[in-house]
Amino acid sequence: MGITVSKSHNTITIKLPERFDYQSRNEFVNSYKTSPANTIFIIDFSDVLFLDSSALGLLLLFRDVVSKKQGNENESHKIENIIFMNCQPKILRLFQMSQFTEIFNIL
Amino acid sequence: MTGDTSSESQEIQYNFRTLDDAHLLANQLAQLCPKPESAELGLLELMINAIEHGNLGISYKDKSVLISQDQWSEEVKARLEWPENINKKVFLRMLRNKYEIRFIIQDQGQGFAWQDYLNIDPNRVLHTHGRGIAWAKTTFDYLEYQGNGNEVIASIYIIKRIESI
Repeated sequence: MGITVSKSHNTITIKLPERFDYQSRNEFVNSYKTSPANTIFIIDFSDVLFLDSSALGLLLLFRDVVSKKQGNENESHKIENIIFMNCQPKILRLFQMSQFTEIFNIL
Repeated sequence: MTGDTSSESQEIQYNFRTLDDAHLLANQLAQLCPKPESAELGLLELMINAIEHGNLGISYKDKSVLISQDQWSEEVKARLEWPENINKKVFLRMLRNKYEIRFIIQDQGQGFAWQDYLNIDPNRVLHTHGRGIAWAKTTFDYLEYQGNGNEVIASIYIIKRIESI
């Protein structure tokens, strides 16, 4: 099963699949590319059991797009309207190891 | 992708060329390991690294540009067909005994500065790649690059895993 997207007011929830890697690229980009600048993104990792390092690249490109829509460039702090939720412990460990906890809101 | 196995020596040898082959083989070999998802992640990172940075000579800077332009996988496919790369393979040996599973992965590239990628560099937190080897290091009990970096040995200790359950 692929990525599922749901919208409510100015919030888009992107539920990622069990395996999230570079092969999810097109589907993932399509889920956010046309959104307005004030969109709040909730990235739901509850189904994600496998994520490789290429997936981090996809998440960083996503962060970059959202940041630029907001008028920010090369910001190294957290972007408030991107929220990661429901990470499995092993996925959270990969984020911690990669210092994603410094640049993403991970609940 | 081709393979050869000997039950007596408990050694399996494969060679592969493409990213799809790497995904398939990493998944299959991981099923023979104590923690398949962890092993798959480590194997996949090392195998993809051997293809793109080893056999295909894609530099760190090249990859940054290719990802930012959404051209990475297309460039990999294109370079696989270059005359100088068409016959290049990555060779993988899996050796298993009662104590450990050892993987030896060797590419036909010029090597790379593997020392720079064994640990996550805080200065590269916003880089879209460059973490795979450091991740792989955490999924194996032992990981060591040889020489110029076109061969890597990675082991999972079976006895330790069983005792830790």
